[in-house]
Amino acid sequence: MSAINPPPIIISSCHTGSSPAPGVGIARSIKAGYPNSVLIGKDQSAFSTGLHSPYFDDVWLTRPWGNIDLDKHLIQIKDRLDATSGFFIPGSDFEARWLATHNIPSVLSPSLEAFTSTVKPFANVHEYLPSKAPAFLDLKTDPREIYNFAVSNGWRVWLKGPMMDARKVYNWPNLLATWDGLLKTWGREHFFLQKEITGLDVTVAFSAYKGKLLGAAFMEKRQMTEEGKCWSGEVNACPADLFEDISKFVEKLQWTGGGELEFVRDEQGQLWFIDLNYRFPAWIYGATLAGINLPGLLVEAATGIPHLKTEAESHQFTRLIIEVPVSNDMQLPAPPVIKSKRKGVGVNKLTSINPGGLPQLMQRISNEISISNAKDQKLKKFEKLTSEEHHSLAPIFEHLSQPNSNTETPFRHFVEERAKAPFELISNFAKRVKKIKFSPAYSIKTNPDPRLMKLALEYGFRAEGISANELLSAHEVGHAFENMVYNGPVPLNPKDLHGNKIHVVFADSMESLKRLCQLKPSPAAHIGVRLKPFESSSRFGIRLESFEDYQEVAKVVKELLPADVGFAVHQHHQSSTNGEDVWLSQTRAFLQQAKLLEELCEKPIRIIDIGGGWTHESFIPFMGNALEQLTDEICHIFPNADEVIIEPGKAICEQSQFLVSRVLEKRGKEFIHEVVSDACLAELPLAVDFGRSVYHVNKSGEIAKLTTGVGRILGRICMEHDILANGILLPEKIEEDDLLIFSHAGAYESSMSYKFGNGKSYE
Amino acid sequence: MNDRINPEFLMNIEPQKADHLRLQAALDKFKSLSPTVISGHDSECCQFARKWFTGLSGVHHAISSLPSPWMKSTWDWGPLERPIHWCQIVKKSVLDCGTLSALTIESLAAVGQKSFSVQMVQMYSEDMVQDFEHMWRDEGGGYWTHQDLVYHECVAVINGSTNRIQVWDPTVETFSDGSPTKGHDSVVAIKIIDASKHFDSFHNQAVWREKLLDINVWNVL
Repeated sequence: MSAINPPPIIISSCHTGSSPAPGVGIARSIKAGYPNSVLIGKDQSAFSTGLHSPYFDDVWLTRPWGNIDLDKHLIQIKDRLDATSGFFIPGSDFEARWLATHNIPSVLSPSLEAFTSTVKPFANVHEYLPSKAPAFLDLKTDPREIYNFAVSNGWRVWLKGPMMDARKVYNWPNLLATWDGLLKTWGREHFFLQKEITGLDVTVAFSAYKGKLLGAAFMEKRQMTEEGKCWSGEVNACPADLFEDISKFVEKLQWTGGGELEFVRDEQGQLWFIDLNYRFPAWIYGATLAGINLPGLLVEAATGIPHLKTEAESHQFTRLIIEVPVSNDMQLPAPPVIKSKRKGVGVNKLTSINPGGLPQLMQRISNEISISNAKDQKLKKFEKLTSEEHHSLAPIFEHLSQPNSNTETPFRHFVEERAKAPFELISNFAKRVKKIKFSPAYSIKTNPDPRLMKLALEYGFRAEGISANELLSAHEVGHAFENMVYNGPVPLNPKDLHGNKIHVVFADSMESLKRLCQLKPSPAAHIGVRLKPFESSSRFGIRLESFEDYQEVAKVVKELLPADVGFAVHQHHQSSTNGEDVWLSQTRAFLQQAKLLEELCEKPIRIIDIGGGWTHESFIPFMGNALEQLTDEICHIFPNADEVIIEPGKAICEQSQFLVSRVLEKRGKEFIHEVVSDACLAELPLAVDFGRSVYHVNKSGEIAKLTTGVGRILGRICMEHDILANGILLPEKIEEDDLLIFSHAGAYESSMSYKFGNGKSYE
Repeated sequence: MNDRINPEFLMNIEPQKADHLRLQAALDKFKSLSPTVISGHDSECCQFARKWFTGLSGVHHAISSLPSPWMKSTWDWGPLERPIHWCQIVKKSVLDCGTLSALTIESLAAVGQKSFSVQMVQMYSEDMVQDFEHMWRDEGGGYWTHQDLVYHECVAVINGSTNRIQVWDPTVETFSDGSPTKGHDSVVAIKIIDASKHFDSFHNQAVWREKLLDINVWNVL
């Protein structure tokens, strides 16, 4: 046992909710190393539960971070440390960050340089450590770019701040709502979106003093809370190579204090950097139990007094919930008053984060953080337009500026070059495929605009419909019935097609399959089944999973499909929702399902039809990167197949139109935070469902592409949800009658638009 | 197959996790148990069922690289009569560990992956073992248990052409590699079955949990 005790040590952040702070773990570790040490627990709320633990000899309760006088508090800290020649180990990143600007030697936490050199997402982490930073995107940009980033990563993305907090987001509305919530909690923090890495959570806690690494513990999480916080884990010595790299890292940054590096280790063993904490982690006593007392090593280095070394009790630890008596000197605050609120009744709940108001400290010091983070770059207000965007948008202003122009807003602006480009690309791709007939199909429902349907005809696309009326409208612009595909939940009635036979019809149900097989004459040259995406909850398609499912479908095809009618299979699921990787694996699973069905029903599959729902920006790279290989795979699996049909959906046409509107009213005094537009959800029905670019055109014809911010573009109708853009930075000089132009209005935004609030009735 | 405990191996291993005599008695009792084999009637009933299973394996392997992470959603674990035929399996809602392991080997073979039967002895509490015996009362009772030890079947998969194995447990759908090394739920003895002579070029030894295991014999851990 150590004969000499260290001077008193103040340890802050002592809350132990479901996302605990490290104070109690640090205290337990120091007590293990110095059983007679004097430890003072410091926090900002009597609800900070760890203050009541038996490991603190004294408690220092201060005012909450939101109200405390920071200058005075700094003096108090210095006075206490001077009076006892003691030390202070901060337990929160924000407090450590605040103290770093004041450079107090007896505060055992990292320097300002350590903070400013490692601001997240810490893209240059590979310069220090054997790890990579996952792909990320600064959210101060064009909303469409953010949307495309999330789509390209299959919506497996995290919304993060540079200091604290990370939330998984699932779709565009969820992203906007989460971002709004984080802004309200943390203030003007600079957020970014980061790709999620699939793998195991591993983390390294370390202790350093004046740039010398004192020790490190490697922990694998074994059990986690719903918030992803560790509940049980296994701790071992840090692997030698990683220890060496962390040594260089702390030396370069002259690190003092605790620290934690969080990684995800993927299937290939690659470490991906996820987070860096500038303090010991909350599980630090788990490392002490494993014989690695990192706080003990820190105190020993700072004081020169050796700590008591303890043997490893276990390399695995778990947390317990236990009740302890509340200190009589610091009883719980009075019960909360029950208030009626709009959404029910409000009472105090256990907060997962520190109840002392760390977000308020963050807001108070955020100016310093933002400056250090972005000191060399001005706040980006607008994105530059590409020449193609200029070329597409300039005619709008020119047209509206004509003296005799009587075009009323809102209206859709069709850009022929934009419309043609994907048809041409896909058509050229189809011509290059030699192993099998490759047919792109135009989904009529996506936009039945005759201009687009004519382009589809011109470039050799099949017309694909979900109703007889759609097929008839395609016929009107020149599509031949024998080239058409029918594919929807409504059973096809041959009478509606006036006896014309189409190329292929797909059944969405067993009932439909039986009915189609029994029709005489057959309504199509091929009859097929639409399969429900494997193990999905889709409402579409026939389920093909259990033994009985296969038995039933195989029996019907084998016994009822007429001999002169070909057999076909189809699957459709949205790439823009699940990402290309998931789309590809689901499609490969579908091909295996179809292969098995082919074997069991003993009928060769002639047509394989796949879709869909790519964004315009994702389909072209998909075609270049994956479609050719997928086509080869299909030919290999189905040597008897005659044709592959692909239905790209909105990827063909969403970019072809812009919605042009005018500003009716601007709102706000110090800065313009809202405008009312003369367009509404009736013209842009999916406005809240995905990200799009928004352009502002002033009365001189200057065009700016807007970035994200805290403003909103409101629609013209009296509906709460009529918000055309949320989280957008509006120009300071925006005026009434200026134009606001919304991109990607050429797919369902067009076909699903409706009449509302303009005095006209629906016919 | 020559069942034996290699005395040299025993001398070089960590302290015994289970009492040696008790384990020896268990191994003597389990000597007659061999890895499960699924039988097939020579008719369409079993051919169709087997074709369905191997085809469905291809579907699952298109979306996952794990050995068989889908059986739990199709079958619960529980007692099963022997012998078991393909046409019975597709109608069952409950399969035992041996059948799940045999199916995993079949599933991996369907996508061209080599795998091996694994027999093991695991430790639980005597109370839990009595519960297992009660659960199996209509299918032979405790023929696979001995005091606090139970017989279990899994599957070994290899990385490429090495002798380094991972042990996949289809009953719980996880790798046993990181499971407890002592006490409750620990593996106290293991036997890798290799009829394909894959390990011949590795001196009939496999590496598991950084330990060398002799092939086709019981290894006490």
